[in-house]
Amino acid sequence: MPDDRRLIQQLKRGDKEALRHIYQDYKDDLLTVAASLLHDACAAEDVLHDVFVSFASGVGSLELRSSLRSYLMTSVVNRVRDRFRQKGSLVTGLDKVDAFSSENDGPEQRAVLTEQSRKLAQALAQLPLEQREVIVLHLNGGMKFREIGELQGISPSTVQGRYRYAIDKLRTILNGALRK
Amino acid sequence: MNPAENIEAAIEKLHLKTTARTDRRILSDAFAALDRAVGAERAGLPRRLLTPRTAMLAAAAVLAIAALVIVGLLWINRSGDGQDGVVNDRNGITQPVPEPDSTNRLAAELQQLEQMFAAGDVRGLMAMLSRDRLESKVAAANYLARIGDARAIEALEIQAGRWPGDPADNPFTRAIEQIESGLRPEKQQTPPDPDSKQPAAAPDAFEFKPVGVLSGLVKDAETGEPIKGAKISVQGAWRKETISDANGLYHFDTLEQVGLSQPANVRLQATAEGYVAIRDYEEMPLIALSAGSQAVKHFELEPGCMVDVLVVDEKGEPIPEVSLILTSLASEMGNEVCPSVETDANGLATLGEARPAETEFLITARHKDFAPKGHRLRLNDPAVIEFVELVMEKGTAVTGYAYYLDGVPAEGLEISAKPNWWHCLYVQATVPVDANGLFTLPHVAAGLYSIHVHIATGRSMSTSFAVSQATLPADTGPLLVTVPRKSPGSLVSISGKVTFPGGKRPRTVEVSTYSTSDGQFHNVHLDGNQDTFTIDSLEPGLYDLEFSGSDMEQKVVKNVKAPSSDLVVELKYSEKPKLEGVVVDAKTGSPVRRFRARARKLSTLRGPHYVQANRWVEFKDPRGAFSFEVVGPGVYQVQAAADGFAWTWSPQINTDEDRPVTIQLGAGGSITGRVTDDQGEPVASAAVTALSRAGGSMPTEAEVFVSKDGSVLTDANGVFLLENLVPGSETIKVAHDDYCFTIVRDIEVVDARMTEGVNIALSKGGSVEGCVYDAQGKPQPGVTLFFQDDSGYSGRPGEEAGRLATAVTDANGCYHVEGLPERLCYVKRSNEWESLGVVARVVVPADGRTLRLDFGGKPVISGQLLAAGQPAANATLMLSDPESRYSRVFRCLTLTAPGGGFSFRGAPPGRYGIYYRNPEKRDDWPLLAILETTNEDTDVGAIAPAAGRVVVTLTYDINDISPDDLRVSLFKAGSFWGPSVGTVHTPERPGDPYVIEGVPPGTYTPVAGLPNYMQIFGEPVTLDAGREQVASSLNLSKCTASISGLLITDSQRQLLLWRSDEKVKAYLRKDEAGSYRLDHLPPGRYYAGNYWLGDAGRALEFELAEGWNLTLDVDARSYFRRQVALLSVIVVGEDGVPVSDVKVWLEGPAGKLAPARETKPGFLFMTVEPGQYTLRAVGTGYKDTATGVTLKTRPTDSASVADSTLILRLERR
Repeated sequence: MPDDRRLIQQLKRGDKEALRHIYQDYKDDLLTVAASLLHDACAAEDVLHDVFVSFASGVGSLELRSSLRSYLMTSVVNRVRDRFRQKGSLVTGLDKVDAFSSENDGPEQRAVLTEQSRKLAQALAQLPLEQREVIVLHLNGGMKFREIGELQGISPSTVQGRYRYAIDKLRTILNGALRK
Repeated sequence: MNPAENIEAAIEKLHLKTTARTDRRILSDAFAALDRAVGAERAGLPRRLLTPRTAMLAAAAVLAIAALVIVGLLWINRSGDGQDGVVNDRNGITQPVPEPDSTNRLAAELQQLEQMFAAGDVRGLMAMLSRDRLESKVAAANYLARIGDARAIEALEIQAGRWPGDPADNPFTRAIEQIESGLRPEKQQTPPDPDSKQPAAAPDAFEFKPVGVLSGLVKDAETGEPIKGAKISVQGAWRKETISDANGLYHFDTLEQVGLSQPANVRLQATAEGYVAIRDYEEMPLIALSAGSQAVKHFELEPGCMVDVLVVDEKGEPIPEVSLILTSLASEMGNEVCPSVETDANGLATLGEARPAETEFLITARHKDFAPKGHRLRLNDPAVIEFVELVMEKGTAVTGYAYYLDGVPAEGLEISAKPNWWHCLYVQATVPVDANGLFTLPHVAAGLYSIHVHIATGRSMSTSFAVSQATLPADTGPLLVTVPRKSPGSLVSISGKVTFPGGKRPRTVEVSTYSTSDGQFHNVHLDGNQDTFTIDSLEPGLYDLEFSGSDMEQKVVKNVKAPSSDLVVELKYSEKPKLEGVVVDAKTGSPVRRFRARARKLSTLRGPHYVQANRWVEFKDPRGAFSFEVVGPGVYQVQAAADGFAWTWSPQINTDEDRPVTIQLGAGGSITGRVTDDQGEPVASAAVTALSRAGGSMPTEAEVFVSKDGSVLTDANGVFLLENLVPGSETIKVAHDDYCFTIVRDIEVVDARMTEGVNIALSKGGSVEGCVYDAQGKPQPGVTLFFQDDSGYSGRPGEEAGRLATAVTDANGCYHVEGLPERLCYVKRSNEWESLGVVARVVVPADGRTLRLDFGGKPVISGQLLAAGQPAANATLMLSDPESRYSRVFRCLTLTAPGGGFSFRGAPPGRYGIYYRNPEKRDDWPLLAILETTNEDTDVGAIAPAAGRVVVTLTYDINDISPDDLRVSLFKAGSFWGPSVGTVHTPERPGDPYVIEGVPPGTYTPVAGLPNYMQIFGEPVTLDAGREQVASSLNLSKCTASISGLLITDSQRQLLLWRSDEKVKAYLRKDEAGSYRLDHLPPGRYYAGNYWLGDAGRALEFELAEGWNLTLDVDARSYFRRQVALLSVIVVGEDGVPVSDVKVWLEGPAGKLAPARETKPGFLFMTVEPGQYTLRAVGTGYKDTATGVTLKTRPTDSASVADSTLILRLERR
């Protein structure tokens, strides 16, 4: 993407506006991905922080091979995986009731979303990490299967397989959750 | 909204936002890190946490926080070992989530239950069974049933005993049943690994059993998962379809459901949303159905790509009812890849599903009130639905005038303009020409167009063809269209009727004739009930009428006079011939009851060379019998394949002989070996294909791999095993996406034995890259180039056999192709005759190197075209081989500018001819000039269509030779094989001379053509530059000898006959009785056999004197079976392009051997002496090169020449 490259060039010269621009563009998506993977908003913010600080530090030797989005998402995923590998490092989430929101929703929709988003989040949590990564990176992170494949070290068709399998599983879990 | 239906949309809606505080924190740390990274330049500047802008943002954010929904998550804690999917209820559940709005205990309990279920907390759920509320208990029971843990049964049984309601409705009993039957797919187990090769079915895999007369599973080809809701239907049977269930199972229970009342073969179609449909005739499987048996056909559907299209006008308003077509630029025929659609009231439509590809697709949008619009796009990810917005322009109206050759307005004809980017089978809208010849094309967008004329030929049928190319709108006035034929007033017709003695008639009959005066075929199509036909728009003269159809014998009626109206033609109905036989086990002799079979054609006995389809048909017969309908009289073979047996071809079957054939199936032999790369490392998953299984079904393709039928893959060690191969000599092809393919010939297969050690090393092959330019030298994106292998290519459009690669130029007009073999590659541009610029080139790639092949560029050959002394604008010129306008080595087309100027770009040094497209006659390209070029730009100056004439007077005895049997043409002097030059005008009265017009200055020989392809050459005559006309004569009065007799051959080939001074050429062909006859031979010494082999080629020698009638029985069997060594040599430079101006010869035991002929771009050597030779090549500017070659002889009618092709690479001096 030409915009990415221009921003990176400016960044390499130390242009803080460029860094801010990148941060504003990607922060929410990165946070959503981190939180969906970790099931923990607080830890997700930590991950976001680490990703950007590390990004800014390494800008001198940065060579973008893919899109900036893909690069930053990979960074998030690596940090999330690190956290899972360290035993006992998970922290309990905040005591707040969740509410995923969309700016365009009215109050009714927000209430519905609340209920729905909670169920979704719970369903997502039941997926194995690799499947969760595929779903979240694709739908919340805006990554293409090809890029996810590179991240996970598998072919795009295997990514597709994981994705379909995961959607099916989510559907099954949610169908069950509705039968009350 | 039901979240379960729109999971993906719901997940997408999940969206977190950071808080402003978080933003400040992160940015401040990141800025600090950035400063440190960038270094000392920033030293000294105060670090600022908040610039004025961020301060404002922060303030806004604080305000926004109140309005924004706060984000936080509460997730169910997982165990700390990080292993997802394994539920550990040690950490248990968190406290029930406090719902701020709910005080309802039931709701709270239900939520709690839900969480327990999600956590797999069986004990917790069991505890909930003892709750007070029935709803809670029932919910718990349901959850336990779904978890399926048997520990819950005891607790459930207690509850079941206390159920107050109808025992049939007892939820606890149901829950117990469910747990006991163990069929719940929602069991919480470790999900199977999607990466494994097993179909990723639910953990309790569905086991397929045949149902009804036809059933099968529909699965995703990539993941193996079942596809639900796929529609399987029977082609041709209206509305006979069934839908697959959640296990992917579809079934037709009875023949009636398939639309049949008796056993038959049917073709199946499969469609499913999101998947590439199986609906092309070539792909639909053919299944034999009968009431007593259960046919099984599984489908594997590939995920397909879809694209949403929004069509708007220039103001941005949506346009409804726009027809959208999707085609692949890589497909030469431009077939639709999916059904076309129309935009709705909002201008929206969805196209799909298309098979993903790395080459681009084209969307074509059509609407009667707008100029057609094309849009190129890439579709390579089925998971992404692309979105395209198309803007359609009204364009401008273009007026023009259309006239016939004689100046009469072309009233009643229709005109259309086809944009040069068009790449689909749909035809443009046409506009009519009025009484003044005026027509108006209403909506033309700026661009290059090919102008087409449409002429009605009968009820609701018409013929159309391109007449010229033009840039529209033209700023040089109205568009002038010359229709290349005379006006109807001066044209006549032939009419008559057809009769079918015997009563039965075929469904359709085609009547066709070729008119040399307008260069066109005139066809009439007769349907079942039509007896009378009229072929019109013919100039007065004599025509040969051809009557053909698929259920009849072809008949040619020669020398029909136009005009005439009383022709009566008797035609013979004949059913399509059938091939019949049985398939038996060679060892036991018992019939093989289940097998597949296909037919291939070896030669055509009579009639048109219809193509026999290469398609398998399944047979199930207790006697092992098969019956095939084939396309026409010919010699065929049938191949039978059954499990455990070698795919075996039958002996030859001649449809004229009524002899059923027996195919003996044996187990055959096998071949094994190892495939490695050039480092010796094994190559896994390489496809190894045997020619005996994958060869083509037409005689020209018998030696070409046209499919991957029966191929096997190498394992992780690169080892392959091909079993059940027919004993004999086998050829295999090894291919892998990352490498260039290799063909290994002459592998001996022995019955019941394994041929080992067939080891093959694959190389990466060579790469070719370059750019494509239009005739003005501008780069052209979106141009499709086809790389064709010499062995599998005969120049037909849509040809897949021999396709090495397809490339589409990118936005810069450039392409790059890899993995090409070190063989001659013909690189052809798609739609070559309606393109401008370079359209054909050749290259020989070099292993491990990237060669450059541009279509255009330098040098530039320029000039000016004059006609009648005036600059000729908008004329089409072509640069090609001076001897043949269909050169595959280099061909370039261009349009002359308003001042008559033209340029050809990018021709490698060599000898070329400039041809001019005659607008007054179709497919007529007179030669204007011959030139030699170098690497430097050349200006040929002013050239004009040749105005010279050669007048040939024929002398012959009219009682001996009928003038109807005579044809006259003009060859270049010294050319024994043509081509002919100029346009021949047959005299109206016999005895008048023949006038040949459009002859450039040069030396020529008049040639008289007689029946049996006999040609008699006259004396050379020279037309000097500046002279308008020269006279010549041909005396046939002494042509009174004849020869006849039996011609004994076991093939259908003919024997060439020539006089020792090469002034007579003819062919000996046997008729149905096995005899031949040639009349009107002049006296002299004659030879018959192979013209190029010198003395060794003459199978026959005899003398003829005037008036002799020689009876000569010729046994040509040993001649046709004899062994000849062939060597084809192509000489290229370091750039892989053939070198012009080079001499090659062989030095061997018998001395020096010159090439038998040029094959353009190479040379062909022929000799009967095998052995060691030295091949020498001398080229201007190159080092002399020599190499040793071994020539082996082969029977003359076997194997293509291509595998005896030697590539000689010259180095510059």
